[in-house]
Amino acid sequence: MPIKKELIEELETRREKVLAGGGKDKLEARRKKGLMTARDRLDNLFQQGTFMEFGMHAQHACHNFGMEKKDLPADGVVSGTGYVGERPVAAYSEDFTVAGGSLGAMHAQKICDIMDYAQQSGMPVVCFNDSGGARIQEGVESLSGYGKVFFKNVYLSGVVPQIAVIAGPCAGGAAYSPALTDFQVMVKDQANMFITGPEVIFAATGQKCTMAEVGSAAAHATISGNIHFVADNDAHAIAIVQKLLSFIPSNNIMDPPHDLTQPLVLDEDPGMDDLVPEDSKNPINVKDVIGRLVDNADFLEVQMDFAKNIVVGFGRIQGIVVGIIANQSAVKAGAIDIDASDKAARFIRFCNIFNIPIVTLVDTGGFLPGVAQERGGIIRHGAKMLFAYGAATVPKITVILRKAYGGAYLAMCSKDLGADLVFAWPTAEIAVMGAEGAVKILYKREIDKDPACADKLIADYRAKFASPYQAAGKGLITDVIRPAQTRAMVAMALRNTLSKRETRPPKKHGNIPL
Amino acid sequence: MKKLRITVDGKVFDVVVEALDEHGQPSASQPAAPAFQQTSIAPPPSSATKPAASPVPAGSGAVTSPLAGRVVSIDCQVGQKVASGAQLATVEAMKMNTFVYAEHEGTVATIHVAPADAVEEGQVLVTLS
Repeated sequence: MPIKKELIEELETRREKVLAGGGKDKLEARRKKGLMTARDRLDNLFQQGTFMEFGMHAQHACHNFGMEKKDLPADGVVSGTGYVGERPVAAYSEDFTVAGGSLGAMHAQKICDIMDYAQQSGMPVVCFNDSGGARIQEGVESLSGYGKVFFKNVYLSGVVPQIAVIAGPCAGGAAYSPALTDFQVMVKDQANMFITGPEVIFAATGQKCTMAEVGSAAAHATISGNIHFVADNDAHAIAIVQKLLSFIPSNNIMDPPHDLTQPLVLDEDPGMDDLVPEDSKNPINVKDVIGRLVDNADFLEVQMDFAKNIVVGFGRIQGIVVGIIANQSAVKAGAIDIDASDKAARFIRFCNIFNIPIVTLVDTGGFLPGVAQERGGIIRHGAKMLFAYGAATVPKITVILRKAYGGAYLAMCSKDLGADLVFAWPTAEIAVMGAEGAVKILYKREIDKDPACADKLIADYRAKFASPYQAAGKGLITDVIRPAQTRAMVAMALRNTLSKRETRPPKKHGNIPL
Repeated sequence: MKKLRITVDGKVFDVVVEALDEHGQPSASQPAAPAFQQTSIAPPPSSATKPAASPVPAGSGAVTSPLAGRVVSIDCQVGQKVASGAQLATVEAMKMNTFVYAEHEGTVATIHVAPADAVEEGQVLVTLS
């Protein structure tokens, strides 16, 4: 006796209704505007046919303000699992066509359920934020829902990677959920994110501003540093998420997806020698160095438009996934400032959580001097970098390209901060401070008597101390290598260090100077 | 209510002063308002922080220094036509040269600084027309 036809029909009818979200006309209107629907986003993220939906038939239980008569399909959020590449990934996607994607108690419960599942199964979570905010009709239950989601974000942090796509409005407290994830991708033009928007800012303070200034992808990518990637549209955002997932493991006890099937190649790369300018004062575009260091020049830069004086991102070096942190001497002389410290420290900590080896390329004259930096707390912010490197137990390989002065030398993963191996180019200048400053202190009396002798003293100091050999002589450098050897040496160093196991005294967590 | 600017030890405070009656209430003729509206502790421009060259207000065509440093060279001449991306000046800071490029094409109208001048971040070096 086969299953009753009516039961199948009822299921099909119910499914069809939920799949239509806020109505087929609304879905079509979005597509005409060039926006994906909530389900389009998941269908494009996952391999075809692999989406397994959670809570399709969920319903709200609100009886206020006429809500008892309203049917909200899937309660405004589509959630489930699917495959990205070879691996299962959990995701949820808010449906703006259903009550503006507003978050009520069931909506929040569905998000928390999928996150619980992801944590227990050890799979990454991707979320698409596209919501008008709290569902006011549900009152404090809605507010409580946000709190529960935030708590889950924190609970999962450091266990599975969390990636947020801000694909529409994300206002007020809602912005704190993506803010608690590891990476935020924001779709330009169609998305905005803020705690208080222009109207509230004006009402509260009298300050006039535009949405572009406070809530746009451009503002968050360049000024506030709140987001990591800007996408042109939904499809681009999904491509960024997929690319990002290709570099990171599913959870904190797995290794990242290294490809160790290739044999180690130790050929020299003469092109790297050619990148070094004759005049040590002229900048190197460090992205050119990174391009030659990673496989197929394939480098996923993170926070490309924020604190450009430091470059961070993912690549593979002869198959091994690495996180690269590099001073960019072509911007602000590669000096480390508050924003650069924050950007680097956060990235280092992500790599450490998810077992991604760290490669550091050093070319910095120091921490950026200035009243704004000191008053802004460069001590506290710069300390984050020191803390993040010092606390990281993943393989840490450092290459000193050129300038490595003072505290900034230490901060860029020096041997003393726990680098496993440190290579230096012959152009490296590792010293406690620059020649001019050092000579002024060391030879103050001589220069006071005869100012003309300063130039010679500076030249002498530079010749003797602005080199890799003082540091190498003290055992602070593993080896001095030609630039052309860099890729081969770093690749071999990574393979040798991959089995590194380092344990620290048990503790709840260190007290990073936030 | 009166707005006053008070300078104490080189620090500027913008304060709003309001006359009160003996009960501590604002005088009848004046609307209630916070007596202490805003405090600015931004240091006033002093000789120590003032750029050596007279600063020029940034505007369209203004090419500014991306960081504080010393001018090494001016790499263009007044009247010269420059393409977008052309190198206009070199500033040394943090033991490194930073090249300053034209953001768009134009003609060099004015050069505001000379080699060896100390410049502040954001100071106009060259104006393009």
